[in-house]
Amino acid sequence: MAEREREIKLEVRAPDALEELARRPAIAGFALSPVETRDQEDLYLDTEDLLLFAAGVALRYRRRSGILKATLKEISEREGRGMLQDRREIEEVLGEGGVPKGVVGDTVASLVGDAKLLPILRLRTRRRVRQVVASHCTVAELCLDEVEVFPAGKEAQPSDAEPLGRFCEVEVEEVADGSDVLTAVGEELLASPHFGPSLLSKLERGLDLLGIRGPFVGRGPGELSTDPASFRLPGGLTAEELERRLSSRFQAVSSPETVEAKTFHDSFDWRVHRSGGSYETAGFGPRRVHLWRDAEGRVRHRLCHPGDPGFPADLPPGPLRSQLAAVLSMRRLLPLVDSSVRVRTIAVLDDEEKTTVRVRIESGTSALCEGGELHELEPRVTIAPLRGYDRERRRVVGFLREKCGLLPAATGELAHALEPHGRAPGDYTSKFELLLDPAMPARDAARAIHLSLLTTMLRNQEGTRRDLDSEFLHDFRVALRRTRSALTQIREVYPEVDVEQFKQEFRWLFLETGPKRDLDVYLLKMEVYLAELPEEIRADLDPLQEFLERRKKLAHDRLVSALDSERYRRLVEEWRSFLTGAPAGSLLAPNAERPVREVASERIWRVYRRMRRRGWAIQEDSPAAALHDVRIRGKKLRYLLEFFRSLYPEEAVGRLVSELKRLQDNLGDFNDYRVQRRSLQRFSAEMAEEGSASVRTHLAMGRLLAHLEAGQAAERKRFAKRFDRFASQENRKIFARLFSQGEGS
Amino acid sequence: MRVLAILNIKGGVGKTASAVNLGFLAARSGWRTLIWDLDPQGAASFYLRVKPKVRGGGKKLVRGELDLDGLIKGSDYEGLDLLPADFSYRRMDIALDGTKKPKRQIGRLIEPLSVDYDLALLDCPPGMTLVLESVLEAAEGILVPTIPTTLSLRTLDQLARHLRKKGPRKLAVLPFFSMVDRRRTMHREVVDGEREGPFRFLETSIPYSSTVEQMGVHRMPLEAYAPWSRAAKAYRALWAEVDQRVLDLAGGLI
Repeated sequence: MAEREREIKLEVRAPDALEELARRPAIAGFALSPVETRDQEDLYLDTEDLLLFAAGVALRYRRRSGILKATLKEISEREGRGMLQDRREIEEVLGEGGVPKGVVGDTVASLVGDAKLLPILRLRTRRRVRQVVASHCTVAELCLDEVEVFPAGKEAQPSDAEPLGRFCEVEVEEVADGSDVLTAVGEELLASPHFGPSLLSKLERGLDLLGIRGPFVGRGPGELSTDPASFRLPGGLTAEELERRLSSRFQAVSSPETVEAKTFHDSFDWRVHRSGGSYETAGFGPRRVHLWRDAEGRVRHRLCHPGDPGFPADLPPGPLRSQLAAVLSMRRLLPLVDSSVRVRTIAVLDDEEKTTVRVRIESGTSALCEGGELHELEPRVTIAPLRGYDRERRRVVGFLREKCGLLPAATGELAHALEPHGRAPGDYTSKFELLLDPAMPARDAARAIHLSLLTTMLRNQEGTRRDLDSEFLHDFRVALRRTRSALTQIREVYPEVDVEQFKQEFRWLFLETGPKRDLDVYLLKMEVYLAELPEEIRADLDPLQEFLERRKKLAHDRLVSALDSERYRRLVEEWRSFLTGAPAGSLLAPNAERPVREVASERIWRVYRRMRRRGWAIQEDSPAAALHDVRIRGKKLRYLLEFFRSLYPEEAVGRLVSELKRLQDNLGDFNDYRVQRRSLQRFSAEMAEEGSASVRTHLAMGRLLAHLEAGQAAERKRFAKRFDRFASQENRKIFARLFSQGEGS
Repeated sequence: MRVLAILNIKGGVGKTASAVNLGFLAARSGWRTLIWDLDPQGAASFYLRVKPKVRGGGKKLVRGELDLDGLIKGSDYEGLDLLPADFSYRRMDIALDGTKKPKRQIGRLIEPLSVDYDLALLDCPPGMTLVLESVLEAAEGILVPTIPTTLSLRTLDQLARHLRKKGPRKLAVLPFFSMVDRRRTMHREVVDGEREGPFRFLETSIPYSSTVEQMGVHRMPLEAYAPWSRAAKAYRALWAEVDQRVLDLAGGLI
């Protein structure tokens, strides 16, 4: 049954004020009954991507006196900044199993389809109720709420855990219709500085604490939710038919079709998307517009610039460039997908024939910029943002959903353009992620790991060859190094003879691609080092920079000829067919058929203990090579932990990986300084031979050398502490618990 | 966000028509544009069919009890929003006078909008008022529609004297001729003749035209009902000039 709830809601700015309300005898000329306390616990549910919330409703389960009820509530209407809220809600008593099957269930299904509902938030409310009485009749209820917010779902914690946050609010709910009790009480309370109008529902406040901002949270009243609400057209409903239906209900005019063409850009590893933004360009020549939008689709930066965005330095200085630099660091922005959308706009008008809502019916095509076919986009309907007409917008949205059967589209514009190509924003990460089954044969796990690494290599191959930015080669080589490490560290799962052959070939590839990476690193680090050197000698190092650039070109040529070689082609081909072909039996590879978890634990435990022993042996005067040895073992250990992460409790492995990472960062920096120093000495000799450096440059390089030495010494000093922490008893216990398999802990 | 004001101490010079037409053209060329109708008579609001009503009035606005954000209305044209006028703006001067730094108030009010808009066009009421002074503080450039008569040119001198008194501040002053009737000798002479004056005029003149007057009947920018008219053409040329100057102000950047 559909009901409307008339209430006002106030936020409590001082907790004492709540206590005072609990004690006072009357309010606004109405008598108040004694306090009655109710404790209630509410569970809010939604789909994983918060479709209900996005649609402006909340689904709440509440148990009171043994009865479990599901309520679907409209989230507060923001139009008009009054506190008086007049919201629709429907409810249903839940039977066994706790799934709404009646009117709530039907409505929810119409909003989310068959998407799964999950608990998202738990609120524990201590509610003190006082009846507001006029001539012996209750006209309203004054509710004093103290609310504790707990996460539900994945982050759920035991019920006695600390809440995420708390807040207090006062609700006045009308009981008898048509009285002006709400206004009177509201006015009296608002006269006090301790109360203010509350414009958020409890759910919104709770989600806000969780860091989730829905379409309405965080915006002022009366302001438009600017996320353009998008909908999918149900099958069989044409644009013309939709237009006809809209015109039958509203005063509407349609304008001629227009075409909007734009290109979306991001770095290969989606840094813009991951930061919550999107980057698009449209138009040509001096009128080419670059837009940075936030997650809600609002334009945050806008720039007219004829060129392509690539590295931040390719753009003129300004806020857009700074934003981009902060997000990208050394990566390049690449054109991702071109979309061309035909838009037919239907304007809904008011009595002055002014547009109040703009309904866009969109169809069109998109093509990936790297090539590939043009695909049709799934037609959709978007309500374009129009400020100051939120109420009208909601009316039209309601009509489209209820009378035309439109379903909310879960994806943003970029995702929509990528969808027909089988791509999605964020679909590449350099992090190794693979889900393994503990009982699967170790050989199959190794194959899955290797195949996943091969995919990563191949995905980075083109960017490496074209040297789009330094990170393609970096990711390519990390995958290559992991491949080699897995070959030797996951023991006896492949026949020895194959392992030997591939080891050799991968080593060759690693060596061919090494010099380019070294120079990339040198040039990247140079920027950091230069910033640390006194300004007057920086210019003296220009010849070194130029020398490095020349070397980099040569190294890149070498790398390209390796990637273009027959040897490389054959390696990839043979490796792939080795990984996907008929596997060798356990006769040739004793560990092949054993459960992967057993094999993994054994190896990790062994590598860990060895590394720990070597680390303890390091003394003040140990040679750099000894530290390097610990570093290499640490790296093996880290790769193993990452490969097999999914076989162990996430929290524990996560902790070990991050502890190890801290140590490895120290060892890595130490090693970088060492290698940079050696290279610098070599460069200096080579430049002297070439005659490409003046005395001043040599002197400046001397300063740089001293700087590197100091850096190395500082990292050396840090080692003992970092290692002690990593090798602590506490961590050892975790290692033993996870990996020792009962053997000598 | 660039802030441009359209003003003239003298009334009836085609200010509001310029604000609405330029605002439309700015939005069409991709600027996210806001017109703030500061004139209590609300002609810009009327042209764009927005009901001129600021809840609580200008007084609350100035006192900081309202913010502009919630008052903005989208227009019929994409990229063009309007902050409607309110009759209570006629008391705006008094309200401003009651605040601490009256000349800073307009700037303070629009500052938070700078993430949402690339260009704010302030359509100012005539007269040498506190509102005008506050606008002069906030704006980076002012467009001054001027009827080509000797009397009108004198008001420009007045404005120049006022700006000089305030001391040096980077403010681009861009006057242009408006409501030019070439049948009238004086108009012709003033527009074509050598001009001595404090400011250089923009190249484009807006002709006197009944098509412009009809904006009040159509309640649309010229482009929307008479894009082929002489006046519409003139506004396009004017916008091209202003656009260039605005780009210059921004150093090529928006």
